[in-house]
Amino acid sequence: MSAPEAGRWDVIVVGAGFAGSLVAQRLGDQGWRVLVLEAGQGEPEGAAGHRAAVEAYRSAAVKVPNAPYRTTAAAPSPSVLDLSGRAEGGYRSDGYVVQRGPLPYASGYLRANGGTGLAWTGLAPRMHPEDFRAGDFGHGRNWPIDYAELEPYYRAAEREIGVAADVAEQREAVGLPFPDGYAFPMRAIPRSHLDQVLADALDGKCVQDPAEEVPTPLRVVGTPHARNGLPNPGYQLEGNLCSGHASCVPICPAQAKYTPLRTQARWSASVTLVTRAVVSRVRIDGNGRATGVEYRTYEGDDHPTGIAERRADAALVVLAAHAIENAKLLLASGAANSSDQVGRNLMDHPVLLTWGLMPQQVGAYRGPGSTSGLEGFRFGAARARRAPFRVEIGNWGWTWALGPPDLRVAELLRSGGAAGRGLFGPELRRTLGDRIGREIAFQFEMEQEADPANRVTIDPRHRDALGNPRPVLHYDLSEYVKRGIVAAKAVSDQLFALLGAQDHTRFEPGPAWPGYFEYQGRPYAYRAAGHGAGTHIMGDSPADSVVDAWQRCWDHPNLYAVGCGSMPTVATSNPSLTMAALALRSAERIHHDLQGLAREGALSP
Amino acid sequence: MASIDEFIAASAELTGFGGAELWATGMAEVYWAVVLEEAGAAAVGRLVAEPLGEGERELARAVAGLWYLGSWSVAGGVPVVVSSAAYERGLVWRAFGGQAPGTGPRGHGSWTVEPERSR
Ligand SMILES: Cc1cc2nc3c(=O)[nH]c(=O)nc-3n(C[C@H](O)[C@H](O)[C@H](O)COP(=O)(O)OP(=O)(O)OC[C@H]3O[C@@H](n4cnc5c(N)ncnc54)[C@H](O)[C@@H]3O)c2cc1C
Ligand code: SF4
Repeated sequence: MSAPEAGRWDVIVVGAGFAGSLVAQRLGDQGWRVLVLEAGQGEPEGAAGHRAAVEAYRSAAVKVPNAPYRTTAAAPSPSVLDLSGRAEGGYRSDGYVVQRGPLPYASGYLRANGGTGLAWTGLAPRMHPEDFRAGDFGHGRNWPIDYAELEPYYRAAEREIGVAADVAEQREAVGLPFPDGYAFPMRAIPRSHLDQVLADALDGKCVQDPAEEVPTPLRVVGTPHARNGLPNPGYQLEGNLCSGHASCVPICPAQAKYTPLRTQARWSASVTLVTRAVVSRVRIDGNGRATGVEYRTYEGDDHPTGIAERRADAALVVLAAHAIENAKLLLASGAANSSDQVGRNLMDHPVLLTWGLMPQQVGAYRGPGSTSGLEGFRFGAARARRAPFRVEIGNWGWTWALGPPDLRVAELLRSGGAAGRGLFGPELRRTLGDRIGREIAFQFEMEQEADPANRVTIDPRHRDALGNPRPVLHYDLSEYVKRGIVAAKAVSDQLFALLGAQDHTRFEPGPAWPGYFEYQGRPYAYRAAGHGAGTHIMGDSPADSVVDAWQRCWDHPNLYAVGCGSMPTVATSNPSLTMAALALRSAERIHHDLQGLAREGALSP
Repeated sequence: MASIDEFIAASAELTGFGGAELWATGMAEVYWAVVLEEAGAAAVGRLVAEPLGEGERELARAVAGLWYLGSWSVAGGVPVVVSSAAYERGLVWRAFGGQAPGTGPRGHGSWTVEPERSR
């Protein structure tokens, strides 16, 4: 039972991903003895490990988000490849996650040291003040804190992860309040040529959103990025400038994109990381206090060997294992659930993709995945009638919608040409040269409201290789989200018309579209952005929420659950910057709690 | 047995890229070995004799796909990427003046300029 990390710690952090790495860093800086238990593998590290991962990406046949990273059977990860659509509609799911809902939860995550933040895209917008009050529009919930409360932590998070954006543009075009004189750490990432072409055609024009009374004016607005732009005075770049490798998901060869490994490199000596350590349970004593965790260590990737049962004790425990895994751990521990909300309110960003060909070459497949968006559909009264959405302009052609250009090549070879027997030679070269660089796509990221019926549960019949429960999900899209998708499609139709682009959008049931559905007699399909949230929802009452405004479990004074799982609304912004701000805010509170415990003599020296 | 020169000539006919351009990718010898190994000398002989004939249409697709994508793919099978270099040098990117994602750096902001036109 004894391990090098045995003994009593000040804090145990479960998960060395995005949120856990930040919390551990802050607490380590305060001198607390922090044990970080990470389920996945952590080697090889450093420059050689990075090179190996880039190589694995380049030679992967299917370049999905998890492709560059080694995963282990002891800590399985869901992959987007686990899902496929059925020819007659509906879907099948063959992976780690058990899916029982009418529609699939279509996002993956990554269990390896660094977590999903290794593979993320790196878009880092803030939430809007209105997003904290979504409940006022009759859908979803309100937050127990507001934008003003979180604002200083947004700044701290932007500094910690390194965000590049133009404060004047964010203020004016998104309506975000910033303190006077604030500058992001780095200057904005330059917009793509495609963004410029779209701005020339769209800025100042209007489209009619069917849920709005008046037409919505269009403006192409730059997106904040957690990737390296030119530094503003006083900010020290880590890694290289973003040089347009166009593979941010799943790996940035230049290490220009933030990953949690960067934060780990800043950990003080009082932080100890143990990888291949899968936590199975939080131990709670008779007074409702967390006393530590139980975990299993293992060797090997495909078949775990050398499995050892271990435990570690601490004055305070922080769960940072990802929204779905946090819920699973709480359920498996019988913890924090007096409200019956653990695992419920699972949210994501369902994404409507639309795609087409521009009249001219636009330089597809260059630069970060998206550098600009249309912000006009995120806020305002229409929120009461349909889910709001943020429109990302996709720089990587049809990749997310239909797959990389490989599939277009294969199709032309199979059935192109006059006789439908394949296109070859100069005609093939000309056709590809003409089309691929004209590909564009819009990515409509829909807000999904907290719905207790969308949930993570566990079921003793479904276990993984270590015997831990697999997540069992029930997921669906509400009428509210579907009305948002209908509005987004109507907007898309008008955008393509304004651009003079050929709209190639077409949804049909089949393997490529597990998220296919019909609504009001029309076909639609969604993909998912990887933004799982809500599963240990934050609120101002223990009766209907799992954690308080500090992400501390109402039921256990020294157990925190951090990550997007705490978010009462997922809003329309990519959630990780908000999650990071919340984590930094919680770290302050945890520090305070630990000081209190030290005063009481409850910490061992 | 067919020679590598005949293979390149046939590949030029299938891909629309000239023989010199194919040699310049640096992949000619590797691909020649892959194709011989996967398809066998007899089929390759028939292909180079009549690249666009009906007889070896499947093989013709696989060879063109190899040059364009750097991966070997036969109908119904999962494509296999020959190597990271093969992925990087796939002609599909060259065809429209692009670069394979995750390869060869450009400069900061290179994505803002008008794309180089293909051809
Ligand atoms: C393809 C993709 C693109 C994305 N792009 C963006 C984007 O552009 N912007 C944005 O804001 N967000 C983006 N996201 C979302 C973002 O990645 C997540 O919000 C974020 O990583 C969540 O952080 P986390 O710390 O909660 O979980 P994770 O980062 O997943 O970390 C959890 C960690 O806990 C470990 N763990 C799990 N279970 C256990 C256990 N039982 N014991 C011990 N350790 C455990 C895991 O191995 C992992 O290391 C994207 C996601 C995906 C999939
Ligand atoms: S565009 Fe390229 S350099 Fe920039 S973050 Fe993405 S992968 Fe890295």
